[in-house]
Amino acid sequence: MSSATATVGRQVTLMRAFLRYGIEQQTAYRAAYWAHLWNTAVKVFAFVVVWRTLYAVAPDQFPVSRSQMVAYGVVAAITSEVLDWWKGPHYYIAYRVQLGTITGDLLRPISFPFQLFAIWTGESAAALLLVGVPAFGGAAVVLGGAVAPAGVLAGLLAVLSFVVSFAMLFCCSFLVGLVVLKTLNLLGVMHLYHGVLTLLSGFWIPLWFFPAPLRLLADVLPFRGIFFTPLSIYVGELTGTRLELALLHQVVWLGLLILAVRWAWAVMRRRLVVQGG
Amino acid sequence: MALIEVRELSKAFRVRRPGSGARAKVARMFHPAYETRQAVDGVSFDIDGGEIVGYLGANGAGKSTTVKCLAGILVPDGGTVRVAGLDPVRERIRLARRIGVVFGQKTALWWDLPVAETFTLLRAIYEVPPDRYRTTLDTLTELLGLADLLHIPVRQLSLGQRVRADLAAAFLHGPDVLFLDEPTIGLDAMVKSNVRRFIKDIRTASGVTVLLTTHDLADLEQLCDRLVIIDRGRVLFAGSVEETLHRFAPYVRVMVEFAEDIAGSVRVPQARATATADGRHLTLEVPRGDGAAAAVTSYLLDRFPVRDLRLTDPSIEDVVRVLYEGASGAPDEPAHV
Repeated sequence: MSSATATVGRQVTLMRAFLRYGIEQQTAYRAAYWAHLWNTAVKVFAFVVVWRTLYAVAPDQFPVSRSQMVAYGVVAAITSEVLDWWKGPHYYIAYRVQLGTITGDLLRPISFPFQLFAIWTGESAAALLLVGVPAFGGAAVVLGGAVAPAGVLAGLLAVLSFVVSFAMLFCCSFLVGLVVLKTLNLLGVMHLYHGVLTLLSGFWIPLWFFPAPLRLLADVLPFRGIFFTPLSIYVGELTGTRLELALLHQVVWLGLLILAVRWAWAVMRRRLVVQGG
Repeated sequence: MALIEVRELSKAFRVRRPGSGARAKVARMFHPAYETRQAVDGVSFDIDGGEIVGYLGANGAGKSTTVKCLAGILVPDGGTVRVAGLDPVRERIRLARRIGVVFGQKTALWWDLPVAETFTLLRAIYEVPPDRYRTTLDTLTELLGLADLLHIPVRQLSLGQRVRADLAAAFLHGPDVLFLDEPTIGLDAMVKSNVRRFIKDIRTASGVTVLLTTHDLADLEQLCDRLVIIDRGRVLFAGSVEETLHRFAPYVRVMVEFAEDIAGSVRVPQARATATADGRHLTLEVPRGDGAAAAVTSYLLDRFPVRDLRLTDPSIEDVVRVLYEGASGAPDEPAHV
């Protein structure tokens, strides 16, 4: 067996182990699981109602059809619940630093950023299976073809784009989480981060509706690559050259963010303080 | 050649100094003030392969900080450290495969995972071959009595159960070096005894090297080949356990509560009174070893209406105090109440 194959084999074993970890985490508290599923259904319902209502009031303001807008809202609601992004790696780092249990993470023979990525991937994959799939299935039963992607190719490209966006979101959250190594408390920074992400990622409001200056800012920053790009591909709004440029924007930002994560961890690791003795 | 080499290790932390009073506290929001606390200050020692070395010190002496520097968790400010021939900072990931670490006060296990799932995940992370994993897990399950705990989530374990699970997790990948940071803290006598027996057995079976930080002199007496005592981040003393106990903790304490008031002088051969709260309580210091404690206990029970009697070791704080003041003399004065 070549060393590359062995490395891939090790990574697959590791990711499978973290998927099991994710399933354990998702099912550790029965009430929390059902609440998560119910919350996802409510969020989907709210998004559908909001976008249908707004569309009925001013259909000419929308660059997409009503069913495309509904699909955008449904997938946005479900992916945000699956990713649980407000409780992502930044929250994990803050929690572990505040309790001093980050020592456990730093004893493992894998890099700290990769370990967190594996943990979050496991948890998100488990949430996709246990929450995302049932929620999407329910939405498809109720709303029919309205929640489907614009086409097979659009669906596949959207999945690819979501994979990149997942890694981008991890990097952004990890970088925000490192702030806690300096401040020992993440609360203020976390609220700011959540606000920025909610606004500029296109999770709530697609960037189509932004005024020109804000749109320009959102186009340059990485956050649109997290929700707006994959969702626009999914509903078929992004096609051709615009789609290629949007994917390029994602990939370039992902590369920069990975470099930033490596650099920031190397620097901030020296500032680590283990609280509680 | 030493398996652990520590030379002039130092580590300081910058901590914020809060203002006193509401105005000062608000002002500090705009102009924060900091102070530097030197947790470890030029510590040097060596540990050979297969040794169990006790690392002693009072609270805040720098024990845990040293362990975290040796394990690659914290980055030292100065000095050099080699563990199993590796630099803990530059080669943290390689070192992690060679060491096991248990922090008695905080678990390294995943809170919501059952113990067995935690071990499975660790097997994948450490890439332990399946056959070796099964053999090691069977051995650890037997030695630590884990069979009934494997299906229980870590969050539902008692402290003693959790420490046993942590010990197993630290040893699953067969490390060459174990860092045990207060592994017996807060445990009852029975669990302490089990943990000590495990450490002894595992050292005999595998030849693992152990650095043990503790507050408990009994841990040292029963486990360690030698010890290093630190205070305020500096090494105060390094030597054999026998020498240390003989010089700096040459006595055990007998604490007696009488059923009725005892007035006047109480002569107890071989014992010296150190504290009396009232006519009903007496604390005696009795020379360690040679059956003196048994003789004193028997003497007290035969002659006085004893309601309660306890034997304890001197605290680490007492040992450190004696170290600063010089070795204490043998107790030879009669006890008085």
